[in-house]
Amino acid sequence: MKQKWDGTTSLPIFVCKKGCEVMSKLQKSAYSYALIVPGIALYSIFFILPAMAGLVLSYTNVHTFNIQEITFAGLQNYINIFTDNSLKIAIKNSLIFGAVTTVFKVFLGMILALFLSNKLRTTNFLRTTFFLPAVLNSVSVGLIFTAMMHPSTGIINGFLKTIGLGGLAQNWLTNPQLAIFSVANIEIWKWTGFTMVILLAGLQSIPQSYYEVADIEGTTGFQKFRYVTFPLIMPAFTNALVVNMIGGLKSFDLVQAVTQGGPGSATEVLGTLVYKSFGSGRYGEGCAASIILCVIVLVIVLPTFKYFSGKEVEV
Amino acid sequence: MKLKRLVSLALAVVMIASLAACGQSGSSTSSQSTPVASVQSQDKEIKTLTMLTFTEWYKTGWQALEKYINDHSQELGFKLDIQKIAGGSQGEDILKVKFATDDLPDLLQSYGSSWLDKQANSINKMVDLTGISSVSQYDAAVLQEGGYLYNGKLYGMPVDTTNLLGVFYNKKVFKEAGIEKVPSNWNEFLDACEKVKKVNKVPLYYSGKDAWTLQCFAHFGFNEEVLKSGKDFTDFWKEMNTNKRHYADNKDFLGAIERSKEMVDKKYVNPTYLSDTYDMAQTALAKGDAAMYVNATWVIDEISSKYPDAVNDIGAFPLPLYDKDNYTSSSLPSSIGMTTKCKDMELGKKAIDFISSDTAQQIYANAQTGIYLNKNVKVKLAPAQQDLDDVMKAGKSMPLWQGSGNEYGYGTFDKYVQDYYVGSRTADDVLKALDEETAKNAKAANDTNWK
Repeated sequence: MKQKWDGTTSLPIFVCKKGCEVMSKLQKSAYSYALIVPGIALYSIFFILPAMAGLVLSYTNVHTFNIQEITFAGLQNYINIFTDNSLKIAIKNSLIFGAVTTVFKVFLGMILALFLSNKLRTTNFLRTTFFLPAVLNSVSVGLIFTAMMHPSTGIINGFLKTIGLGGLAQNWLTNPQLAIFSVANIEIWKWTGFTMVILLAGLQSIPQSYYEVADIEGTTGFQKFRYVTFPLIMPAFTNALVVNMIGGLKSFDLVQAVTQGGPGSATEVLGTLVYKSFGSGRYGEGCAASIILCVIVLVIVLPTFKYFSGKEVEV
Repeated sequence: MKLKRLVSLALAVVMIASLAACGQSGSSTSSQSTPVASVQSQDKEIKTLTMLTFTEWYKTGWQALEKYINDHSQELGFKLDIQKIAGGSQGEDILKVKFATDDLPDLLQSYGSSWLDKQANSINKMVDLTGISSVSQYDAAVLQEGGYLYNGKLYGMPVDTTNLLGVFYNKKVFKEAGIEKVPSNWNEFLDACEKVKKVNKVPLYYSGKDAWTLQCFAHFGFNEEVLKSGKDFTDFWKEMNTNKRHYADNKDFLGAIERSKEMVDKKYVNPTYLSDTYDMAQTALAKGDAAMYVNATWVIDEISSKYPDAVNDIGAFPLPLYDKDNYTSSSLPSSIGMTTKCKDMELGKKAIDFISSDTAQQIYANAQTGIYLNKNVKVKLAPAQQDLDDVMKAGKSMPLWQGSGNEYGYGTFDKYVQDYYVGSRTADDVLKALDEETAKNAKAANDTNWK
């Protein structure tokens, strides 16, 4: 058997010695479908099915794990969520958290990526150092920052007082107006390195010759970034932006570890609201809250993705 | 092709032969082990009972008792295999799943019959233990009040200690501040706070980072509420649990919440109280940086292990919100019961009878001091525990409403209190939120009283 390129398809077709086609078009498509069946099956079992079950359960009363006890609740679970006093705060905080963390993670990640795309002696060391917080456990990070941000014993206020800036010392995590921004800062610290890696991958895909041409044209550093680098890393930028937006809007672990949504409900986000419903044993309501969170994320992220992906250019 | 068939046949024969050989080797082993088996049969047959508990409940008391049981299994006739799962809402969910799927241990330590009935819908999967002899070592009224006796059936026996709520105070700080006797009404309490403040110590420590601790203050208001209602605790809660009375109707409870904030407003509490933890409170009280801390006797267990020298300097009294009848709240021990999946019901009963007996409870108490419900257990209590035990023995205690009274969850009371302290809610809103959450949970459970 040998391979022969027939020039009409993108894949070579196997032909037998006598020249007859071993695989007909029909067989080929069946073969392709057969290969994706395991993937589809796993995706259906572990994603589609639970998602559909969640949607169905959001219209039911479920407070035990006994299927016979489940009753139809209509829109009651959605009404409960929409009339929850914490919902307004949770939506506001999720939007603040998502916007602040996305902007800073992408901005700082971009600066780090540009800086570390240069060949320095310490490049690899610095890349590892900046990426390291991303692999730390959120609960550990939360506990460390909780201790650091303690108003009287924390090192942040201690440092400010030592350098004579005691006036800037704050109740970082217990001032209701400030707390959400303090948690956002921790998130930015943790994930900026990760964003840097995504953007760095984009930067490395740009051919050096483009910069050489730009040099010949006499462009400044900023012009190179504006007209060469940024347009060409747009796919990586869109990716980083969308990943961070979704992460910010769905944030839960860090908020739970640092403030548990407190003081009171000052740092309540949509993720902690979902947890609260499940934690109260109202599983139907928890599912409804998850669906609402999903819709909010989609409504914000999809147009953003569409807008930025439309601006991408091929290298 | 013939050769292929022959090879397959030969392989099949070899496999069958090897399997048969395995079987023979098993039987030959058993025939060889007959003398051993007969030696074993001379001893009592020891069955192992599985028991499920929450990790947080497996403390020094259980460790000592488990060791004793397994060391004396010949004499007792059973061994214990204690499985532990993390507590909290996740642990509760695991327990509910276990009930739903009938994946149950022989014995189960749980919050008690009311929780099993109303929250887990599984009281029918627990066995009535009526008839076990150790019951006589307990006060019948306490068994009733604590829900061990439920709907006329004994679904569990107490295990672990009773905890009592109170104001824990550092005697040295009181002396330094010139406070000669513990406050017995609100004005005296405020006066004591003022005196402590003058010696530059924290009068009352709040550990708001661990929000649950902020609830303790308000519990004393609930005692007054029940007393003023003229009803007993059970009847009072029957009204609350059937939508006839609401949290918002409880004005003394409201008053207690307001007084807890009054302490913040008067700067009697540590300025960083929302960032300070339960652990920090123990240190502050033991070291004398703070004069008082409102919590339960479990705080003494913690101080005993971390600052043993300080335990004798700490006393306790019920929070004196009122001129008279300042009650303590009692959090009764968890309950050990037998599930319908127990593989040997008689042995299961025997095991629970032993675990709740004075012999076993004394072993438990020797390893873990505290207030035990078994009347025959002798324990030397720490001064603070003794102070509150005296109050309870004088008849001035009431079950802690959380868990003992409410059938439905009321939301995050601790968070609502935090909200009130930082100005995001009023005290009335706190009670309104408790009612709203109760209604949601009752409706989710299809309770017709809330339709």
